[in-house]
Amino acid sequence: MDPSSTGIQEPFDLIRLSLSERVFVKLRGDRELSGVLHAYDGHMNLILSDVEETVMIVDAVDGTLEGQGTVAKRKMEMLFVRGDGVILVSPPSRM
Amino acid sequence: MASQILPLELIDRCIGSRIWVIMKNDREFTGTLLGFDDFVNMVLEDVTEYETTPQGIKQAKLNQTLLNGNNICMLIPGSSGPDS
Repeated sequence: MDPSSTGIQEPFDLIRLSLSERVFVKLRGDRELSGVLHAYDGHMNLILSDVEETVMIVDAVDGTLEGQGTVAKRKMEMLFVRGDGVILVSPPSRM
Repeated sequence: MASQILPLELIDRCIGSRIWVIMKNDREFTGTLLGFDDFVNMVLEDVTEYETTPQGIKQAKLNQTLLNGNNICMLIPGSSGPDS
């Protein structure tokens, strides 16, 4: 990714390019979101619309990942995400 | 960035309406948003607290509440919560 051709200078530029696109967001507390990104700020607070939330549950009994699976998926039309819970924002795959 | 709506602006527009707050742990709140600050601490009233336990979802009713922003994960404006 050549900076001069794509205009990406810093990490937030990558997020800026994803505005109005569907993004994948990983949050602390074993949550993941998929939604359309409408806004962000310097704290990584986000506004997403048409969102599906997936909550993972890790089975602590056997201590391995074998018990892990999705517990709940929920859909919301519009939501605000507090930035300190955001682990990563992944832009949609490009051709 | 100037022409887009900022996240905290969206929350500001929700003052006076119902809001659904999801915490980082297995707890959620619904209530009427009275206000918030730069740290996204929130003041709510007519609050229902939902706690997800292995036994199911426990509900509790609270009056005016100051919710500590440290543990807030997500906010859904205009929603009556997980039962909607």
